[in-house]
Amino acid sequence: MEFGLQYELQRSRPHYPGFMYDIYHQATEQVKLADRLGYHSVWTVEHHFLSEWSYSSAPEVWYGALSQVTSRIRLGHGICLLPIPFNHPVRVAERIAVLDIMSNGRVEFGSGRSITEQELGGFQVNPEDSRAMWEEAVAAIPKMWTQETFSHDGKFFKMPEREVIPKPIQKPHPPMWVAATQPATWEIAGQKGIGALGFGISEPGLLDNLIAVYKKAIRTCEPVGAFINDKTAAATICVCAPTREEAKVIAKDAIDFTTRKAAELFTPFARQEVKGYEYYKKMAEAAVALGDYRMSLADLDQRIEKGAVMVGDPEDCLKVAKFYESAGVDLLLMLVQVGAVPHEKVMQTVDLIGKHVMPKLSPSAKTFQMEAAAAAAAR
Amino acid sequence: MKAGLIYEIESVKPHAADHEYRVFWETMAQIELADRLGFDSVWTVEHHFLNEFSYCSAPEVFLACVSQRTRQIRVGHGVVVLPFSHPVHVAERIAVLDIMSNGRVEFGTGRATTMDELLGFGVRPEDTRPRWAEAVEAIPRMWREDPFSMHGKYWTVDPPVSVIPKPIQKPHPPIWVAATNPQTFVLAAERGLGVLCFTLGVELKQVAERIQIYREGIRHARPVGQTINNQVSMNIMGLIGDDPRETEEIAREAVLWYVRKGFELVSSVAQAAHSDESYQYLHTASKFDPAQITRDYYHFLKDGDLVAVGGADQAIRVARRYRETGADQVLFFLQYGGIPHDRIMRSIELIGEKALPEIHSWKTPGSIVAAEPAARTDAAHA
Repeated sequence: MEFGLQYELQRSRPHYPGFMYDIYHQATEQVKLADRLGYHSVWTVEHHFLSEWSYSSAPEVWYGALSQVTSRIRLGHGICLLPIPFNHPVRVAERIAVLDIMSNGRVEFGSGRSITEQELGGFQVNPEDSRAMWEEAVAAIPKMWTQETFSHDGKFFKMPEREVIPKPIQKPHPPMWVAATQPATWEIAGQKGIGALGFGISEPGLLDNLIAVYKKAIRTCEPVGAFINDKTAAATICVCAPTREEAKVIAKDAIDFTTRKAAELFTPFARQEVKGYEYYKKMAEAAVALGDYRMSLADLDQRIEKGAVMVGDPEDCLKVAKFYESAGVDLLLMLVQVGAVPHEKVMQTVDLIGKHVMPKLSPSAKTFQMEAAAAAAAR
Repeated sequence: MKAGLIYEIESVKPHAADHEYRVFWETMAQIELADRLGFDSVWTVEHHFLNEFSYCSAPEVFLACVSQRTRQIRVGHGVVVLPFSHPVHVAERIAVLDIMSNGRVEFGTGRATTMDELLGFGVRPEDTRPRWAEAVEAIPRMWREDPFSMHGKYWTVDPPVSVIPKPIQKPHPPIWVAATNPQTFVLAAERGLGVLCFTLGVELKQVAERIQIYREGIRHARPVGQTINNQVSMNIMGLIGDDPRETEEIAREAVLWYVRKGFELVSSVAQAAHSDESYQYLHTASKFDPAQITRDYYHFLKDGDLVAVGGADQAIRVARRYRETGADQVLFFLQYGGIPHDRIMRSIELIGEKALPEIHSWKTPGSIVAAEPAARTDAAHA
């Protein structure tokens, strides 16, 4: 199993002047450390308008910057929104290609359709169309990369024959993924032969079934890309500290914040029946039922034991990581910058996981450590 | 006077297998050199589908890369094609670039001038200017109003939203518009926008007249932003080298290639049956037969001080001529028509070492000033 960082570029209130600047530049420092430690990848959402939850509204720009201050870590869109009012598919193809050129072939292309009413409404996307819009775009983009010329006559966009340039340098094209929050999307990911980025998984035990659905579907897939990207990833909040006690204190408020804020984000879907978003209605209802629930430190202990959160000392975190590995996950995405966890504590997590957890499970981290040792010996 | 570089990111055929990769990284090396030598800014176009002519289809990504490899040079969109992106996403991209570049963004806007691009994105020529006008008015509002909403002809944002993050330059990055068309000088002045003049082959006397119209107009500006960007920028195509004759040999063919290709591309809009009146100025271009663009045309450019080819003295000379027209900034356009990377590097070096100090010493009329709140468009609406 490989290890990656997953970013919302988040900051809970209270805010201070310049906090948006700090989020970006601190996260950049965190990714530089991850790059040095041999992490496989860093992934970033695309969210709009979601104050506190995410300031990552133009991940393509942040990635351009990251590509120049890192040398080996892969840069994953986790994810890029494909319904047209957010991004024209041509523009997505172009941006990924330029990023692939400028990162020397380190791009992972994850896509999705948006799951909040605030974003869909802000860009005037009819929620009932969002999946079909995603499907049309996700099939078109790899063709823009691999064909010299491309034309399209679809339901949501049409274009005469054009050369979409430049082309990505990874051949045939960067690996493709889709955000899979609800079980149905794991199956769709398999059917299309693309990787599944499992977000919103509350504990590793629930993964077995999702991965089984994915693996079954991918056996008979009709790939949208030029190759099958048979990979699964799962995301979890991660706070690692020298002791479990310290980690718990750092993590508690952040976990409470994400639980409460996620409920708030999905509430608009709880008020109505929206086709294609029934799953989120259920989630929102459950979250609303929780009310102003605050976790106790004892609750947090239980969740750590269940592997529902990757919080604790390196031993605790290793145990949780092993749950995910035994479930068959290829890539573990760790949300390290959550709530208002201070920068130095995020750096501590990245450092401890990179040095004490990753080398025990990640094949590339082992290689990396050997290389680093050899380089040190040579010096 | 300020001086910078402008890029199409061109790659002329025949193409090696890795030509796109090479041209991006060569461009980066050129910009890094310009940053070290004290150039004020670097600007890149946004063009789509224009094989050979421009590979810069995602400048927001490339400029973000530039922001990390440079320290002082300002990074300019020359320009963002507003009809092709949702204005909210443009505001967000500019803000993130401003954060990552530590406040070095120049925000140029435009509407596209080739049929290949317009039809490729399904935008009708007659809609480009109103789309631009709607977006350029909305974007600065997104930066200062929270919550933000709009009810336009092309875009509606309602219920209100928070457009985040915000740029770090206060009140916001300087805003410009690309002007090929003389009428755009008027539109720019009315809105308090800087002018990025992308014309080629327009005689200096005419340029001076347009700038004068702009300066008069901007006194009554109803600025879209919180500043009035009273600045005019001119492009100088050229090549500067150690041996003036050899330099001219290389530059001449490259200039002619570029001019032919450029006319070919823009004339498609003028020739298109459904094209809009606002593109009529391109009719002049459409009458050009590319075959007629010969050495005579090159000499017309050279003799009219419309290109800077030769030693560093030529860069100073042409920049001075533009200063006399009333411009505030010149952007050297050095990568075109297949000019080799090492020649461009040498040009940048020579301009930086021998021409920049003098160009920088000249005073120019324009500047960015804070807008009177009463003159702002939002106040007018209220």
